[in-house]
Amino acid sequence: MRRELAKGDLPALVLAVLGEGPRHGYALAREVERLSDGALHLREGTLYPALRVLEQDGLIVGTWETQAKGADRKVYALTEAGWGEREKRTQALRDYATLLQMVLGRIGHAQPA
Amino acid sequence: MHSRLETYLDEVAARLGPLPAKARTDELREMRAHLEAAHAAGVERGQSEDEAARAVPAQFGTPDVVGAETVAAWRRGVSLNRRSFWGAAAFGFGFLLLLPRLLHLLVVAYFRPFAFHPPVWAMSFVLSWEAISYLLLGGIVGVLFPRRAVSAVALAWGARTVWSIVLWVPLWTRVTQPNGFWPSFILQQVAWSVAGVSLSLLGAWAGRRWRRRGGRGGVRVARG
Repeated sequence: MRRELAKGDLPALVLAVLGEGPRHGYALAREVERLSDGALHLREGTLYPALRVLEQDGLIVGTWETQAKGADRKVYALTEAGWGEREKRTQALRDYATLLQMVLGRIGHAQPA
Repeated sequence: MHSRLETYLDEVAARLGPLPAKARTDELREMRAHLEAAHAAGVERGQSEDEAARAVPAQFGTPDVVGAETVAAWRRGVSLNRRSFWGAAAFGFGFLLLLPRLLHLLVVAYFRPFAFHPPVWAMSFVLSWEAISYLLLGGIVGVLFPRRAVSAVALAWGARTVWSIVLWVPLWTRVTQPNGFWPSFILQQVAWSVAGVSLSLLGAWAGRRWRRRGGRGGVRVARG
């Protein structure tokens, strides 16, 4: 089942993936897909505005890297503040997923009248 | 790059009008790298050049949405910079107005250096305290408002200089002054402001640098 990533979840996932190492935008999008076995995809054009917001908030920093072949790439890494925010936001996503599971689990056990 | 992707990028560029030239160039440069990589990956997977060039923009998003979200993100940055600038300028100006009052309290009410120590010692104390305070002001502004710390400190000092001259001129004109008083007074105010703003700017530069490198905004290499 293939599902588009919700826009509000994108910054948290970006921070989570960057915790594994610095990446450029294309690699970020591919990593999210890989980690979800291709089930989760994002509108890649919305990735760069999200990266810009994270940069403005001081959570990530981007550095241009010249490539031997092809266009230059901007590689992003977490800042100190980004590490802290990464923990908070990924935990918030996990808690939300747990709550959803709990609610759906209870609905599943309800018997029709 | 494939002509279809160039056309797509041109359509996105047309929607980035509000951005200044450098910001627009940087955004398009990054999108170009992404589109090229996505196209190359599509061809590697067995798609033809044209098939891959059709699939990539569909995955990236419509030019309207991409353009609108990019402009919205840029506007957010401009708004944050503006708030940071005025916040820092207000903080700086308030600090500079408060400083003489604090000095007055310290010197006259608690330390009384003029009463118990030679005047040279007292002046050295006052000047040292002021110099440290101006450095501290700049440092605090640089840490709290790193975006526009330098220009905000300059504005705060400019406002403070004008305020001092406006405040003191009516007072001093009530008393007949000796010849050459006014040029000397104005020169003294300007010289004092130049010295003070230099110290504040040094503090602001150091504070901003600390925040962006090793402090709250420093980059740390990923663990693992």
